[in-house]
Amino acid sequence: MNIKRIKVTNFKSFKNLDIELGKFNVLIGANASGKSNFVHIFKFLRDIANSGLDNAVSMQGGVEYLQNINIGASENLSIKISSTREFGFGLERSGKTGRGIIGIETYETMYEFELRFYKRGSGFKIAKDKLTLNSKFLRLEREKGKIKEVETLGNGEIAISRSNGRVKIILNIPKDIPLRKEEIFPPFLREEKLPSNKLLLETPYFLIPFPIRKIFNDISIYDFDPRLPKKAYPITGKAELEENGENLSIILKNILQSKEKRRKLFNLVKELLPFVENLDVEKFADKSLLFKLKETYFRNQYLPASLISDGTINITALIIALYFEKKPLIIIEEPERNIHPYLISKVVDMMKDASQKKQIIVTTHNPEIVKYAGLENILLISRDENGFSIVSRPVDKEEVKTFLKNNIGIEELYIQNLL
Amino acid sequence: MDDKVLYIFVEGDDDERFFREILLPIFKKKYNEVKIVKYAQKPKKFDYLEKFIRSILSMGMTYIFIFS
Repeated sequence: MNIKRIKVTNFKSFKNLDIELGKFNVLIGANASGKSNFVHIFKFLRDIANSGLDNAVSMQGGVEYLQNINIGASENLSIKISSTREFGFGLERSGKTGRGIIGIETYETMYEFELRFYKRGSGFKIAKDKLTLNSKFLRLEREKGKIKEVETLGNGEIAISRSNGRVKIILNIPKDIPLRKEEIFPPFLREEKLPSNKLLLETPYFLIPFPIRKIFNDISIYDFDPRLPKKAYPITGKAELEENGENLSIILKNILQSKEKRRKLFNLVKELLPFVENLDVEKFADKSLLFKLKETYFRNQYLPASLISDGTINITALIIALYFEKKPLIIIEEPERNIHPYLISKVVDMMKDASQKKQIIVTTHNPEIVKYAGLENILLISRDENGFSIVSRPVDKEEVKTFLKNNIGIEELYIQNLL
Repeated sequence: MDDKVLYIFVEGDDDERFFREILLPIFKKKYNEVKIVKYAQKPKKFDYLEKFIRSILSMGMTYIFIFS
């Protein structure tokens, strides 16, 4: 799983957050309960990985809006994540220390950092920065050009942390594993001094020997605006779906070029929108693209995107995000927007199905989504009496189980604020 | 203070406002949590309330039922 657990302190409306995530997570809560701030944790991590810490802080509105307004600089901001996404590499050794290939398979990555805010001004410094890789060590052999596992040597931990502006690496592995840290990390990495406002996450330690940065890079946060795909989009746009869905025409063009993908898309679209006869993309003289749709009712006429309903556009974008985009963690804000309540159960089923292959987090107010999501997948976000956001799992509450046992629907408990 | 929840069944928004603003602070001294349930707009009110009250009693919690 891309992100299994997340612990946060003093981040926006959160004082303390410690929550385990599943494959499919439905985040529900009242207005201003902190749903968007929860999503901002992932956005912050992704921005650090893509643009660096200083830019990521700025993109959150600066230190003033990054820390909790009540707590301020009196506590550190900390984020700790744990991921069970697996990474592996083989180390070929031919020196004095031994021969053969040793494989390292990381089965759990834990990364934590703390920022200490200055009492005056908007500055901060990094108070803690540590990456821990829980790994399995293997003896590998090359046979007929292929690498195969010979035996498991044992489990161990590779810990990389910041210490006085330098990188400290500790290898906690069984003594009989003939491996030294110098063999895992090239010399140019070990000698590097860390700039004061640069996290390990920004350094090559998150790329070598494992591409761990992908845990943070590979997060898409979709918040579709159906008005945007209704306009023609330049042909020079990105090949992956933009988070607001504006380049839907480009994505559709790429999908429709592949027979297999086209068939898959049509099957999924027809499941929700049986009136869709065909989808196509039109190229204009100014090198822009606009998709069009043919309904079963008007077989000789395509409707341009500008005349297609918001719900149809939203559903198409949703299907692409769920089934055609490659990111292992996607967050979708209010996926039910513009969608008829009758279709919600099918949309939820699709999200559950897609969550077998990627981790999905959905934020919603919609009781219909709550009804079909499954109690075990629901995360409830609310504010405590001091205004801090708290996240709980209704499935853990005895009273919720009792109400459900007496045939009160979960959506009714949500509407009555009893979750 | 008992680790208990008080459920208050009110008809609609006016009752809810009254209880939330006037009585809730008093009840909060005795109960860990006070939850207000609106029932007037619900179809099959009798069934609806019966399910709630059965659940509350089985949990050993207290409820107040308001009607006019």
